[in-house]
Amino acid sequence: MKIINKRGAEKILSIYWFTILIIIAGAVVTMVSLFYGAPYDARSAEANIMVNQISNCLSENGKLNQELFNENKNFNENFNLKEKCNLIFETEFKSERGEYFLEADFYNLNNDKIFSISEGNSNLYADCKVNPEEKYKKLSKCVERDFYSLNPFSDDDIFKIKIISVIRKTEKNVK
Amino acid sequence: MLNRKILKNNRAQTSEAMIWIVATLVIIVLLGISIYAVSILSKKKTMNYEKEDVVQDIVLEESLFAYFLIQDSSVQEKVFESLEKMNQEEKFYEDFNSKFTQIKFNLEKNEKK
Repeated sequence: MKIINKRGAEKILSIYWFTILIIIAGAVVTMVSLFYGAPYDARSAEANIMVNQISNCLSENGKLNQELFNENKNFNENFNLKEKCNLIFETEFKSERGEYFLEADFYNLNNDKIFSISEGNSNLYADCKVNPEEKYKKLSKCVERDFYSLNPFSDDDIFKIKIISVIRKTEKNVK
Repeated sequence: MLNRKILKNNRAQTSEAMIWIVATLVIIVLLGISIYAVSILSKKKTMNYEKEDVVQDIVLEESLFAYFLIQDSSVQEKVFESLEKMNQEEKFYEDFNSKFTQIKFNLEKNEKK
């Protein structure tokens, strides 16, 4: 009688351990899928890379690209930022609005805006004015950087160039 | 006598069962905490370009090249002040002073050649 009772207790214990094993295994699988299933938000890095690309294209060794100017040595209104800087704005998401926005503003030393060129979906720029808190992470990512570059025709005419790079691509970068 | 033995045995069984129940609850709570922590960590998966060690700040380099090319000292001073202000606001991804010295050294070396 005692032996039968012991066997029953062992059976219950093994069922218990099996259940615990399943719970732990399930938790481990959940944790791994949660962590590796979440995408890396690489938009800030991408926006910075685009800023580098633009600054490299607009200025070379501290002097502005001569193609930015027309024959009269004024800023060329027809400068095509996308084409000249080899930018590709196509993404796997076929949204008509566009996932990118780039702008380069040229200021003189007195901080007066002289010239501006932009490319992409300008509506995205509105997202930059919102405080980038955790709860707004589904908004576009913005990077703003300033640098100086000289007029290629005069060594004392310097411009402050403000580059704004905005990337949406929320579907791919935010869960 | 027999009744007493059965009572003692029952108590022992109850306390043993309690231990198992508490142990199970502890395991479940620990797993729950771990899953919650992982879900928080997974939301913070971002690539911080500024904090990467391999970053070369092209924007800073362009500004410094422009600074060293300026002929007019008053303009040069204005630009330097602005660059220092940007440095104080931590707008550069590389150390401003070391990059300044490095570019100055390289330009002087090239001039001598």
